[in-house]
Amino acid sequence: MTLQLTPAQFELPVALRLSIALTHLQAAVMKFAGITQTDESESLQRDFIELITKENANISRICFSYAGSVADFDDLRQDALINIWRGMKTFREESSRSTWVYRVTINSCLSTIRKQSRHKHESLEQLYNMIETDNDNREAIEQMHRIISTLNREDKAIIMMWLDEMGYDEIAANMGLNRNTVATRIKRIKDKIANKYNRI
Amino acid sequence: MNTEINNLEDIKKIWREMGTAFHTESYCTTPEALNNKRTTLDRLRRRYMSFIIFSISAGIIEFPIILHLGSLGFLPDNLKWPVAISFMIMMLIEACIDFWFWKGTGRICPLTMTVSDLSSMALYYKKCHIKSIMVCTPMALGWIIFFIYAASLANFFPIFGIITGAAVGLFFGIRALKRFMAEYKSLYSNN
Repeated sequence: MTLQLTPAQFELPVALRLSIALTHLQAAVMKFAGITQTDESESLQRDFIELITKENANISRICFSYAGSVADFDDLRQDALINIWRGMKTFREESSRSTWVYRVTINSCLSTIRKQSRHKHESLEQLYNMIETDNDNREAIEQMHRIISTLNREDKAIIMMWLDEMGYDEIAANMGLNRNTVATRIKRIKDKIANKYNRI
Repeated sequence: MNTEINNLEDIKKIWREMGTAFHTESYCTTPEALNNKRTTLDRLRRRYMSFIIFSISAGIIEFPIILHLGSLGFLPDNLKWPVAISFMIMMLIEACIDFWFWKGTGRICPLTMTVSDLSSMALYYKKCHIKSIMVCTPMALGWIIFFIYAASLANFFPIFGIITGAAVGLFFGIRALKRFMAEYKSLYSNN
């Protein structure tokens, strides 16, 4: 490794010579550490693809629950992926990756409030047709989507986390609420669902 | 699988099984392509920025036009300066409102905020947006009525221009108003 400047470079102003020398130093350090910029971005891309493959079920379920149409679902999903990709570079491991992806996906869905489609019934039919499953399962999923749709935006987030068997502490951390508030809200949501459908 | 939802455990079971029921070909395989994409929030901020630029440009460009119209007899001489200045002030107010929205929505960060904070902030700005429409719409209507009145003092061609402009503006305005009322209704009924 060499940090020497060429004779021609010695003719340049001091600041520029210093800048060139520092660039050589940076390249030498990176070479010594075995890291190139290309390697770093490729490894980030691989991590991202692995992460969204692993979390696809969660991302899709959350976007489906907030969507009112196929277009909404696609937009929400794309927003979630964009935000997850942007966050990959700065993710600080303060929580598990799975929890982080969950929270970012919910936040992506909440960050814009969508207008209701004028043709709500047709839009929902098309949304349900997206689901790859048999008719019985599809009916159950439709019914569940309708149940969840009656909740407000924050309650939807809480009940989704509860359905995914997250602990109250984890839900509280994601929501930014205290544990008792989360417990109370979950109870209220369950009562609301039970009263509405009168079968639970 | 029992397809009737009889208890919350059924909902849990359906929820778990639903995850595998989505098309998997919608995976993004080129994450770098996401660098060039914008989220809905980014597009909303861009729209606010466009309105800021439009409002400032309209205020600056219309100022000499309104003064010139005054000299054509379109506006009485004693009104041309107040009208031109009022119009410019109105456009600047609208630009300031849009700037406030642009700045505020920039603080919404899906990566770092908790769900509750983000949800409250998004809702807050959405409600403010609707309130700002309630303020700006009467101002715009006031200007339309004024220009129609001023045009009635002039000869045919300006009247024709004003009526055409008003008709087009009313068409888009009523459409926007209907959309706004639908959003207002959904926002205040569901939250």
